[in-house]
Amino acid sequence: MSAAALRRWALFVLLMIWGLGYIAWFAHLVADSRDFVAAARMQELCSAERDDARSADFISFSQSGVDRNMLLAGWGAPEDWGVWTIARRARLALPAPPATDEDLWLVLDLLAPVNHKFPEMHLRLGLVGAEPVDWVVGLQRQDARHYLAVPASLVRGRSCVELQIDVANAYRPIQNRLGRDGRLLGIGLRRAGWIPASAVGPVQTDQR
Amino acid sequence: MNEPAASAPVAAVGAFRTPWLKIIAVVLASRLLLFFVGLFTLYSHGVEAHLDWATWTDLSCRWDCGWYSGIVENGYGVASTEQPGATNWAFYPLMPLLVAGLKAVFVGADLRLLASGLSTGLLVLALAMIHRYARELGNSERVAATSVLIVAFLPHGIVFSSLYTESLFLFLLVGTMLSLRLQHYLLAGLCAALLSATRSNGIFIIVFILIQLWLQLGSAAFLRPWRNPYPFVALLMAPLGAFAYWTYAYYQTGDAFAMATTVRHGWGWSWEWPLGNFSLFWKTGTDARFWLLGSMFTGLCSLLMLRYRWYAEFAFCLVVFFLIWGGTVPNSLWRYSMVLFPAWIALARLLESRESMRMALFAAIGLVGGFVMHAWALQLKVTI
Repeated sequence: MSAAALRRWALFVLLMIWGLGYIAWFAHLVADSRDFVAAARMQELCSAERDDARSADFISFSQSGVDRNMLLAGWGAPEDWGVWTIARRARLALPAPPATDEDLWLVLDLLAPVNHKFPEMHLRLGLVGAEPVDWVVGLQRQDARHYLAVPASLVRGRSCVELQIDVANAYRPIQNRLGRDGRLLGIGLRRAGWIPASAVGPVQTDQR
Repeated sequence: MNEPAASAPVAAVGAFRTPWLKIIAVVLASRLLLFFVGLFTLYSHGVEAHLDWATWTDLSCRWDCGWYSGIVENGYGVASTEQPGATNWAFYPLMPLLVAGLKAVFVGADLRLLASGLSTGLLVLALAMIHRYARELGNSERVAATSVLIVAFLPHGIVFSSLYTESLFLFLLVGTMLSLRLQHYLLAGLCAALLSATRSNGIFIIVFILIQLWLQLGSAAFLRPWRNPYPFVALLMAPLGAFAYWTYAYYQTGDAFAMATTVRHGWGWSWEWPLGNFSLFWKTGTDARFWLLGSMFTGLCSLLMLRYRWYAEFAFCLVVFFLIWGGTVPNSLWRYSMVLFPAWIALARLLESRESMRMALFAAIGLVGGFVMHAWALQLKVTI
């Protein structure tokens, strides 16, 4: 093999290693990166100093009541009544309830943007670490209280929990001649809170 | 595969003379025009303004210029107090790095003035290379000169003299394309690497490099890179800038894609298929319509590249349009598309023998440019 051919092969091998290095590093970056804005909000909300945030009270998501650090990702600006999800996936951080051995309900006062064109909103909700459940919120219960069962073990010893909401059929009102709002609306959240499972009788859970 | 007929073979060095004086005169004239329109606007709205550098630097610095200034002065990691989730990680680092370098040399100078000087200087160099590039594509001197005029007088051209990335991006884009066409692969790779550190869509230059290499080398050599690997150095170098920024962001924030994250949180950016977005932008309001129509005009001019068989340039523009039209936030669509200079060369070629249309184009550019500069001076949202 001539010296020129050897140089060509050496360069080719170097370029191959270079290219594979990109792929390996990119794969690592994708796998190991986390949403830094949401992480900062979570840290702010759930740090040890914020233990006072644990509360049995209901949390309002209206403009005046909400701690914006709870709205980790996928939420619009809070309004007078509450806040809309504006992405197909929204993440919410909630202060954990006071320590308890009893199972709980996570109570959510939701407002669904339902109408004749979109009579149902299809949600998948789950606390991180638990199996998600599928809910369908229709016209009859478009502005109502909803209950998500939470085992005590899931919140025990935690200062915060994270709720993930996927809305399969979120839509933009402006594109559907349903108003001027160009955002991708999924579900509205007015208030949220915890109650012990024994505090209420059998509840309609919207689960499908 | 052979080089298409419309793309002339690589010319001998020095075959095309660069009209430096004319280019500098055009740049100065266009900047003066912008300045006077801005000054007149301020006067007519009762804002105190003088015919001096301070007014120019103040006029040239609007919107994102503030974010870039912040990076130069305080580095990364600064968040907006008014826009939850918006941080300066949204802005790629090369332009602020260059301005910070200048600031270190010219201690005490106004960084906005330094940035304006840098951007304007880069515009002169970019226009000189655009002139050369137009000639390399087999166009006449008239087409090359018209291309330069179009770019220099483009509406919203004030960003070519501001602490924005447009001049740098344009300079590096034409630098990459020209170097590759002239088969200076190392230089092309260097320009491409810097391009991918300038703006998020800079990394798409790999599309141009891939197709251009294929056209230049032919299928046989392109598919057997071990026979002549040297041209592929350009391809491998191109993502270096983006990777450097991602890696820096990763170690600083734990999120390599901090740019994408912050534009999602702070600016509401998300990606959807462009066709659906067109109707969304159209219905959103007058500003969005302006941005959409402006970018669509550039898109239409890009289609001319197919007619002239500038396939590599067309593919690059197509990918960029796919990204910017896919964003659900219509802000700045026109600004993002105005740096796609091959579209303006194609337009200049189309109008080569159509004198009245050429005049009509420049009349329209003057009219819209005046309106945009007026809006820029008043910081109206349409100029974001």
